[in-house]
Amino acid sequence: MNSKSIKFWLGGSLISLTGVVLARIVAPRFSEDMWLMIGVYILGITIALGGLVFVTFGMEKKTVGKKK
Amino acid sequence: MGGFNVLDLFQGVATLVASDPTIAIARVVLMALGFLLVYLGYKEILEPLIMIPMGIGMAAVNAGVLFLPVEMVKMMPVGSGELGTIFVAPMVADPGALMNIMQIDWLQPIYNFTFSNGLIACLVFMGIGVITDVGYVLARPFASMFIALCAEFGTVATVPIAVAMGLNLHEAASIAIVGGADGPMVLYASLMLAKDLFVPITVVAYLYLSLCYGGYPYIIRALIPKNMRKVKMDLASLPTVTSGQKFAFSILGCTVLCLLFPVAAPLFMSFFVGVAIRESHVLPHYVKLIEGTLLFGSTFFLGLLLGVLCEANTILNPKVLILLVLGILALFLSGVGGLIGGLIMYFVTGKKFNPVVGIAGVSCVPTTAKVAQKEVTKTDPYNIILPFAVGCNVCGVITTAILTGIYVTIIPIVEKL
Repeated sequence: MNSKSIKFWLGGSLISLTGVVLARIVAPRFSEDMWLMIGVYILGITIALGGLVFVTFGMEKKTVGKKK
Repeated sequence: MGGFNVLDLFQGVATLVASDPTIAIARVVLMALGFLLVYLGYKEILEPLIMIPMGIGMAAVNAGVLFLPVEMVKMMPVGSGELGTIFVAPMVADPGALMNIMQIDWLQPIYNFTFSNGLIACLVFMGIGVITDVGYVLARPFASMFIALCAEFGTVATVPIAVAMGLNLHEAASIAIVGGADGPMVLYASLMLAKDLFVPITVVAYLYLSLCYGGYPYIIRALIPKNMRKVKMDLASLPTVTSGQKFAFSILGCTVLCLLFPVAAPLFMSFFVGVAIRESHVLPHYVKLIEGTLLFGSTFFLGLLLGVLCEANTILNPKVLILLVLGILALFLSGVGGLIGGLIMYFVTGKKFNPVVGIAGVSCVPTTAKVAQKEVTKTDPYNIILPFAVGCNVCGVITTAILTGIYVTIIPIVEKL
């Protein structure tokens, strides 16, 4: 694993963690406003999943004849 | 020697005469349906792994009704009546009665210790993880995720329709998950959200999932013109990802998803532990155990229990007809959504993406990927789109799990407000 891919793994993990904090810790604090709470919750989930997708950018992928 | 009734020797028949006419007719219909499912499974028109045990269970449980001894009637919930079977009593909740029933009803221990707590769903998911290659998803995450999200259209759109048809939010979400085309998810969601309806919902789901293979080709031909079905996709352009990266991703993905959706954590963990065991390449015995004994064993008992739970008294719920309609609607809308996603990808990529791949976003692994390949092969025998379809298929499993987690988390909160 080279330093570039390590950056993607770390960056993706941090982005995912941020999303988790948003969804699981920040969102419940808006319990008085249901739609805001759901909005923040969905945003947190999106960021968390986005972090996982970000990790895939740093993966070493081989196609026939060449390495990406 | 008065008062002897020969029917008492044949209680299966005597109970038909003694019970309410509606129940008696339902029992006969369910026996016939059981025969039909066995036949369709034998002919491989429906999935035989589920349909053969389910059909036999359905026929046997509706035939094997007897007059319960007084001691057993006392163990049953109030209002159950004097007729019953010695297969399984799903409605018994009292711990003392349950312990007694477990020593009489032969499938009761398996029902309580594997089915009603979701263990069997998790074991099936573990098996799916072991046989699934997540590399296709990691190679093209955007395309796979986009298609999979489009294919969740049925899972989302069915909720308001179900509420409009008279179901409450819990029940609506449970039946809508059928659109995700993932049996263990449906079982899990209905156990968490609508325990009273989980038997009919799960039976409906597994029946319809077996019908996908027959129904989806017609939707493909209706929505995708022949010239689009012929689009060749460049296999050489599909990257592969190393096992080490897949292994690491499975650990990270499992942790993030469990943090996000703790109520669905058992399912996520089951799937990703299967993936990790597969990609580690140091646990061949676990691979053999999970993809063989555990997967086939749990699939067998799942089918058998589903059949045995289709006893007339349990299944005759006024909401079953609504569930039948909503289940097929959810799957139909998901198929349409996936194909629309495929069409969008076709135009966005400059007509380089075969839109038929969109149907594979419906996560009936590997059925819908096979359906996509089969339909493309009919237009061009040398056109291989299966690897792209499998990527969307696998991503569909993950998105359905995420949506299940969202429903199980949000629905109770929304209902409290």
